[in-house]
Amino acid sequence: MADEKDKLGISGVKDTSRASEVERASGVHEVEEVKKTEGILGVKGAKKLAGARSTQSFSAADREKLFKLVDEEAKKMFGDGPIPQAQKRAIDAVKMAINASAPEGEGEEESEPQES
Amino acid sequence: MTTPNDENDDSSPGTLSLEEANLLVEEHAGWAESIARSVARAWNLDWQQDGLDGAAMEALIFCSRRFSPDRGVPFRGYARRRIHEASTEAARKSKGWVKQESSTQQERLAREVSVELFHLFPELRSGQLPSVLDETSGEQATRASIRQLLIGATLLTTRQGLASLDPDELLDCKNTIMLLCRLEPVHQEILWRIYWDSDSMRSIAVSWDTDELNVIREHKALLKYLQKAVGQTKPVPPPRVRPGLKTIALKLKREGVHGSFSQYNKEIGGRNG
Repeated sequence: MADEKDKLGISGVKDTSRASEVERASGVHEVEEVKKTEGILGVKGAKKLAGARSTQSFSAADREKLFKLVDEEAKKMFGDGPIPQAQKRAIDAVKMAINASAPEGEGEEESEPQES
Repeated sequence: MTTPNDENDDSSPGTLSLEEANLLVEEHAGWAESIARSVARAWNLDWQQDGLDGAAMEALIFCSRRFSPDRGVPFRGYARRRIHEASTEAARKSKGWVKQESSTQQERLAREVSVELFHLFPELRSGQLPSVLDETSGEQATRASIRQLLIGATLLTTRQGLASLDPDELLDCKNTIMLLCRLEPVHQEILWRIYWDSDSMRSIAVSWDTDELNVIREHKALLKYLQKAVGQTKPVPPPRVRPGLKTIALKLKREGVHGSFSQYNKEIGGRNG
């Protein structure tokens, strides 16, 4: 242990019986004036956040338009032919969810900011 | 939704006095009822007889007691999701939900899927369409959000269809399963756990010791791929694993995981000889 201390250059504690007085901090003689900051030369434009997402609120007034878009997108996705039962249910479920999310009369009043 | 039994319990800093909270309830009662009515309307229920009015009011009172203006969120923004959730919960437990003689089996199944859509896309409860990763806006963004909803719903109806006895429906669902089998194992795991096991994206992230945002973004990318691939006769190349989940993908491969859909398909194939 002692050898290791020597290697690291740490010497032992010599005397613990006496403590020297802590000297008073001397007064502050001078404070330099705060200098003016130099003019800001330019600010770079904020870059677009990767994957930034925008929110799209809708109201009861938008419902019919959204249903129409659901039908159009479903047609593109599933094709023009007869739609299988499972996909028909998917279309109905999306319309139900939109319908249940749009309270009557909300589109007419002032829009409220959404919870972040 | 639970409500505090003792109103004095809810005295967290910044909350309103009881009088102020009651004023909020009075002011927003009509709005809360309109949320309950919209939920009832979508599922052909009676908003009063099926108890949606009571659930919405209970949630409104609960929110008024917990609302703190200091947080800088408007009351409606704070309360809407909770009132909607309480209304849908009440709807699912109502007599009208269980006994709808007029509705067909297809309608009942579609209703179940629409409830699950609220779990997958909770922003719907706030009257918002799911966000998209692309930098699109306007109608393009609306269409992209709708495609996400349609694909999410299709995966849910595929799960339903596999339990169906109708051979035509089984065949359609098998095609979707074949498409999912082409995905990377890590992607199969994400979709299986979300749509088949009803796991949340947060719980998947926790189990993989990664950020939830990695799973959310991967999920959105997968839905985008499926939008292109569903209904196509030519195969569309499956998406690559994004950097955020590469370590997990490698780990799964090292462990010999082939993906839950591949495994499922193998089992079904084995059962059918």
